[in-house]
Amino acid sequence: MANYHSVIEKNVSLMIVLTLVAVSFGGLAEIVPLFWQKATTEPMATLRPYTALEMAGRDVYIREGCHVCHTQMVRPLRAETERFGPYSVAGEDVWEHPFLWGSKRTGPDLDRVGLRPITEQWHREHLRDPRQVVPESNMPAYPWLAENTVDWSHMERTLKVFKNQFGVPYTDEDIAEQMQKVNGEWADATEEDAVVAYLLSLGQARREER
Amino acid sequence: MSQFWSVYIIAIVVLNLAGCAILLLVNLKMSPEEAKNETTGHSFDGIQERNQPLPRWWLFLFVGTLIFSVIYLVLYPGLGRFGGLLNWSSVTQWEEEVALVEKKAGPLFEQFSKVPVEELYQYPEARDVGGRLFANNCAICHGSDARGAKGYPNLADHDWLYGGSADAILTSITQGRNGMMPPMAAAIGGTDEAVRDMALYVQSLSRPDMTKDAQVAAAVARAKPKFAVCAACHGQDATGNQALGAPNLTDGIWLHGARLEDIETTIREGRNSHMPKHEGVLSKQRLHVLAAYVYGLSQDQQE
Amino acid sequence: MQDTAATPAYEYKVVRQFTVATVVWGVVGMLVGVWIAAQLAWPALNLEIPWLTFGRLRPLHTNAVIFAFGGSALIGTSLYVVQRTCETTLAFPRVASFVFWGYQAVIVLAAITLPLGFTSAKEYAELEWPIDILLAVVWVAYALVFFVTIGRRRTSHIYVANWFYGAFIIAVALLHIVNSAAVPISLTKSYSAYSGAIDAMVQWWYGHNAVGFFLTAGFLGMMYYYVPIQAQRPIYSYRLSIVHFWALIAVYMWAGPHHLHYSSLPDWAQSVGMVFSLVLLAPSWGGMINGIMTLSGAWHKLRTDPIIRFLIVALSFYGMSTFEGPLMSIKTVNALSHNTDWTIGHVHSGALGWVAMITMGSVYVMVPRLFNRQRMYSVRWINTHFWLSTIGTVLYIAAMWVSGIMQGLMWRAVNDDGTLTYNFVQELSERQPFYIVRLIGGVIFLAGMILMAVNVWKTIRGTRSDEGELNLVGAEA
Repeated sequence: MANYHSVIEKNVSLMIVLTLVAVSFGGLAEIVPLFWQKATTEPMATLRPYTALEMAGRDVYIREGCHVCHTQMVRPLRAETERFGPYSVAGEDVWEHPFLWGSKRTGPDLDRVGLRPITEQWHREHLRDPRQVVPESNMPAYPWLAENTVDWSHMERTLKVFKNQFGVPYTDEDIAEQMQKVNGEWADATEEDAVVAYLLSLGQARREER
Repeated sequence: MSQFWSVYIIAIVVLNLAGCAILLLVNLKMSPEEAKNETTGHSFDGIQERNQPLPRWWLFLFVGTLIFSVIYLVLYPGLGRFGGLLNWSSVTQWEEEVALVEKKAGPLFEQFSKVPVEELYQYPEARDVGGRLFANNCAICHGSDARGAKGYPNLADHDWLYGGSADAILTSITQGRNGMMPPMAAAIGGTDEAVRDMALYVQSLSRPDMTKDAQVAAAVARAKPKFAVCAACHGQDATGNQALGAPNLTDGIWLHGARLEDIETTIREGRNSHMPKHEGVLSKQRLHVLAAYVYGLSQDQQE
Repeated sequence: MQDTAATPAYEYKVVRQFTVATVVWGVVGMLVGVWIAAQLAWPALNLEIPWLTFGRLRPLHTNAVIFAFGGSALIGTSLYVVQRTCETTLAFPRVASFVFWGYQAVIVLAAITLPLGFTSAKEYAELEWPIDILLAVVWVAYALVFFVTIGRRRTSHIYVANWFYGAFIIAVALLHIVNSAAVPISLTKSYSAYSGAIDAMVQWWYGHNAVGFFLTAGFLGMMYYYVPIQAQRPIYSYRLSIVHFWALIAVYMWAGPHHLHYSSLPDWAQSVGMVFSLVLLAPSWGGMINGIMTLSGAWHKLRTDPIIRFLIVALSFYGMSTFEGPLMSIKTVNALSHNTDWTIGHVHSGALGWVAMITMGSVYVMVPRLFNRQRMYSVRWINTHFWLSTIGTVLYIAAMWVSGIMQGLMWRAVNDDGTLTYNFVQELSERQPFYIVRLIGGVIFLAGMILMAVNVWKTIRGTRSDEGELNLVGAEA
């Protein structure tokens, strides 16, 4: 064998090609089929697209790196469904670009936070100063969210990308309606308004199952 | 998953695992020619390579993991559509876990549900269960010790916005409550002075000695007649109305802050307090046990 | 040793640049790590300043230590090793210079944009699309320099270190390009082209192989040169090199789904990820065996040569974390360990124990040679650094093990009545002492890194006259 192998060792092009072949198997088997599987591509019947305000909140959630400390993936383990709510299924996330499952629970999972009996007011107080409501918390305070107004400049484009590129079932009328709100009642919405709207939207597809 | 993708996945998985095995197999034995040379004869910047065979124990480790893989993929889902001989899935595992707990917990809660709230709190076991339900569902607002925080009522005292009876507590938890105090500045005159006067008056209700100060006494005198508009909810004697969730203003307990500024803000802007409903979040039986725990919090203090 | 007459004129400029960058970014990246570790213990340290909050700085820390520190070390050493082991000079030195400045530009842009909150949200791939494109261009240029240099080699065979470096370069290019696919909305905002479970699978195929190829294969390339050079011993087994190389690169690529156990990724993909993660144990250990056994016959050098200590301890941590990895990829273990500090501990036993320590050892070997010194400014400092690194790492990972297992156990603790024994906050408040111990470990590790920076600086300045055998620090004793 070592003799055969010396052929590779003497030919850098062959080595590159064989390396490429060797490293391609995993992705070909694990990723490619997912694009054709119902479980990973079909939205849940109860799923509804984000409103512009929720979408803006999601952008802030990403910007602040909330997903660094909060997961959005309730695993099918009883202790976990007891703590957070119904376990997550792929059909809830088919419009999620990017996915926000996270990998670390420095804070609790948020995939079902919209189903928890927590008031909007609590979320606001908690975002401004977490330790005022939860003294043991080690979450940073986000007072600037209540001061910043939402930057709406790219929202129309965002909604259109989600509709046209990502196949989220917004109609043109939906987008027009959302943009009307963006220019009307939400024009002066704060980032905190947006984040809270986003948080309260989480898990709503599973409201009937909790 | 279609047949095509199933075969596709199986083919690549098997190819890769078999590839590892073949790689091991062809490198298992050294040619006699290699064995007799200490090194391969190459030299890279002075680095040479020895002709040592694969370490035995390492080889067994490798083969062992390959064999494990094959067994695992026969027993568990992995090979495309083939679900494995054990018919395991993460969802069935969860269902079994839930059923197992239900089997143990079900009779217990059944037993608890037959005991009225007023008695149940005296069952130590029920209190433990209720305490854990409280910790996981109520504590983020009402605090780990149930003593509340600004805007979130203390549940361990005797002051009840909506009543401290077992029924009232159960209703509060199950249905939630919506407390709404409208902005009152306009109704009492609209000026900053009028608001300040009323705040002083309300504050003096639980601190009668405040009126020893002549200025306060004067403010109280000005505000007192206007309290009639407040009395509609808080009562003529200002002791509140539990049917409306209007707090008692005479007991020195301040949900939204005891400072004069806090009271002024309340009068000027009103307050909206919302207790979410827990129907659907917790089962009826659990709500019952939770109500008993909350009921018990203030019963303890009387002893 | 080679006949000096046959030695070509090696191109060291770019190697020197990357080496200095390695040390500088090491200090910076670890400093950010220490800072965010302190934030977890004392949240007031977020200072209510947006760009100093944990959520924005944590990606900066991971990018700085993996790509700025680790990446500079890998590119720098690979361009050194490829010349030395191919016995030829570097191809396209001007392209190599572009690789250096382009790569540093990517790092600086990362250091600016991540605290500003421009992020794709994908772990270890947070950079927004324009920087991703720049990185792809730089990477292709790097591949060109590296492989053309191999093509021009004067040895008949390609040395094993270059197989690993080569696989690292190829795989990282593939991973980066596929995972970074996104639809831009503006210059600073884009959305991943993939959605939900598919995006998660692509991300962890990338993410795990950032570990597999960046932090494992690449650093094995480093190990395959600097260990035999410093020990002055032949590689233990050529045959083992062949087997574990091909097995490692073919198997690693499958391991991603173990980051998604019990998620909504279909069960079949999770299982496949798990079995390949277990199969990965032997190929990973092949590198450890080859490294440690190369030192056999040179054990006495451990007594006198702190660089050898770095290398051997790095290999030990490598062996330990590549055992721990497959262990944690078992579904039942993962059900406990996932989302906890255990994962953080595992990563750092690899990142501090293996990646950083093999880099430090290699840089200590290389710096005197690059700057025409006989040895490092202070060998005793190297020894001090070794102990600081080892103690720091051990404190760090022990704290995270305990904290992580505690978290997993407290989260799953359920009573017979079906209620949870602890709420989330009760668990959170138990972590505090471990967060402080972890911070202390990190501070100690950082102190060692700073000592190294001073040592490297003084060596380059050449403020001490040096005698004795080339870089054989043991000779000083």
